[in-house]
Amino acid sequence: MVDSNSVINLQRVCRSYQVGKIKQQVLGPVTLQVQPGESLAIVGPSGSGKSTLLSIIGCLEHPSAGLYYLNGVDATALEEHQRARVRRDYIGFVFQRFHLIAELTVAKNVALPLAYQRRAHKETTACVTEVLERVGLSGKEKMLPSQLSGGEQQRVAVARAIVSQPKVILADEPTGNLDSKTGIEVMRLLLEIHQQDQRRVLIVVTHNMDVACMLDNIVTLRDGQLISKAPGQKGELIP
Amino acid sequence: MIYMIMREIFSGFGASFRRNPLAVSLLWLGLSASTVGVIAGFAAASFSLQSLRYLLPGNLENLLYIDIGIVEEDPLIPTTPLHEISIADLQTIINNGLAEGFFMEITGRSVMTSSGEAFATQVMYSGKTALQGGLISVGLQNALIARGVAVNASFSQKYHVHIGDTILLNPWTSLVVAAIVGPQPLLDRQPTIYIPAEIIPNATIDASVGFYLPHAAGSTADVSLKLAATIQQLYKGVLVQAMPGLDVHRFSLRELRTVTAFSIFGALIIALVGFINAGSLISYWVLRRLPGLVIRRTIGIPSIFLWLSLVADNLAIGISATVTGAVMALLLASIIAPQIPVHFLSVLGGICLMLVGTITVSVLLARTAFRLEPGIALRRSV
Repeated sequence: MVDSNSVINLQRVCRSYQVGKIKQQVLGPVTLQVQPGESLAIVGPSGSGKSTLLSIIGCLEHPSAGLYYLNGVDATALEEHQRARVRRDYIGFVFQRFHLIAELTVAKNVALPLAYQRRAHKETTACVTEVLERVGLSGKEKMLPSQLSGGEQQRVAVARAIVSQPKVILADEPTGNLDSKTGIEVMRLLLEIHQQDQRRVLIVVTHNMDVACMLDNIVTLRDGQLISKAPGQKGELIP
Repeated sequence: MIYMIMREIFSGFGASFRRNPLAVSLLWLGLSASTVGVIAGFAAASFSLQSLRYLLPGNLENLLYIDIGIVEEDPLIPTTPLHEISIADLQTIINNGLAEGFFMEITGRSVMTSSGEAFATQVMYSGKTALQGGLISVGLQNALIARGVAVNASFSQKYHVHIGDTILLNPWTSLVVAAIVGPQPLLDRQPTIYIPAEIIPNATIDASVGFYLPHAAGSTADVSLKLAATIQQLYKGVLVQAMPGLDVHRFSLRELRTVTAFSIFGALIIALVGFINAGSLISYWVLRRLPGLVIRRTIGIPSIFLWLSLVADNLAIGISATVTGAVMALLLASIIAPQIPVHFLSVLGGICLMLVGTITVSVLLARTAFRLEPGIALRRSV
């Protein structure tokens, strides 16, 4: 059952929540494999389970049933502290609402995943400077998130997601809070980062089919069920 | 790594203060005010306890009161008149090892001081006896060494008597004040003069005599019998009645326990009000920080560091606020009630209680950030 080549391997994964006395299944069973270097869009209507699936892939939630192998390791068997380490070292997150810490400067937000690794302060600063340069935010290290535009805040979130060189980047509606032009810029940035590492996986949850089409494959969810997986068009968006 | 954590804590705290100075100031002020209340409560409890301790003699468990009277019913038995029993003769009892010391207290005696007539309680003591909880024994010993008397602060202040002044106990006995003993007048009992029995050997017994028994003296009943026998050997035909100190002071002891319990209860009520106040402010503070904690959890920062960061952050506010509260309490006490001493332990107890409470409330509230899976917590935090 375990496909040793897959970075992500979900086997009949389900997720349900207890709402009062009723157990409500919001996802699954879903079976999905993502190969190294693959970029994948997850699309579907609201409430179809896209974000829940992304949370399970990102080890942010435990599946209620099924198996999930991340890089060949059974992620369902991991303790919370082990899953935290997986998130910190192997996964980068980008969210629709950016989820930056308002009290911290841009540089400190980006440095957060490195703060608890055994790294020298100088090394961390160098990493942060390099990654901020890469996302086009040089010179804004000392600014607070509230002093930046939406697009810039999302770039900070992207910088934070890639600063620890993760194998998997998960983006939940990364363009949802941005105007179309800025959204395209952010998507281009994500694709560029993805392409820089041949084995890195990029998974994007989106409503926007134009965004989805930029990726290698598109999976469609409806009512918690995976109804199709089709190749994307790898189309270039026109700003 | 520790450097990074500390930096994050302080920069986070500093930035929070800059962004929301009102919330941080309210929390800080609330904690300070609560600390003032708790310290005031503890100081009141400590003050009540101390005041009552000063009203009682020393170790009550080893105290035995002896009343000596004359048996008048049988005229055939030769009796010793009471006025012939000198208090210094009681030294025999101490020499026999039956007691370690004694004292006799006579209230409402008139004496003459340089400023005029004064009324005071006179306590004659064996000289090595620790009276009033053993708190003023050094002064009493000094009085004996100087062959003078000791007066309490209440007497000293009321009648303007100082060390070196002379007190006329009666027309033929004048003694120098060699020591002023006891705490400040508010805590002290009524004006009292302490007279070492050794310097007035001819003073006679005209009240109950309290004997302090050795710690290994055996049961009170046995010692009472031995004491009675010894006294009756010294003075023929006298009646000796003994009563344990615990029985004599039972009412005062009950009063002591009741007042102490009420004072501590009062202090705890103040502490509780303080915690409710601090708790509501801390809950606001922690709730404001929850999104940040959830984001940190999401990106994989270990929970232990997040707990430490939260606790350290609240501790930074807590320490500065409670220390300020303690200083405010001391200042207020010195202005509003300078006669009430604020004991060091009350201050320390107040600070510790508030800090422990602050951390406990923080930890309990922060559990909400850690109880849910990060994915669910993240969705709920927005």
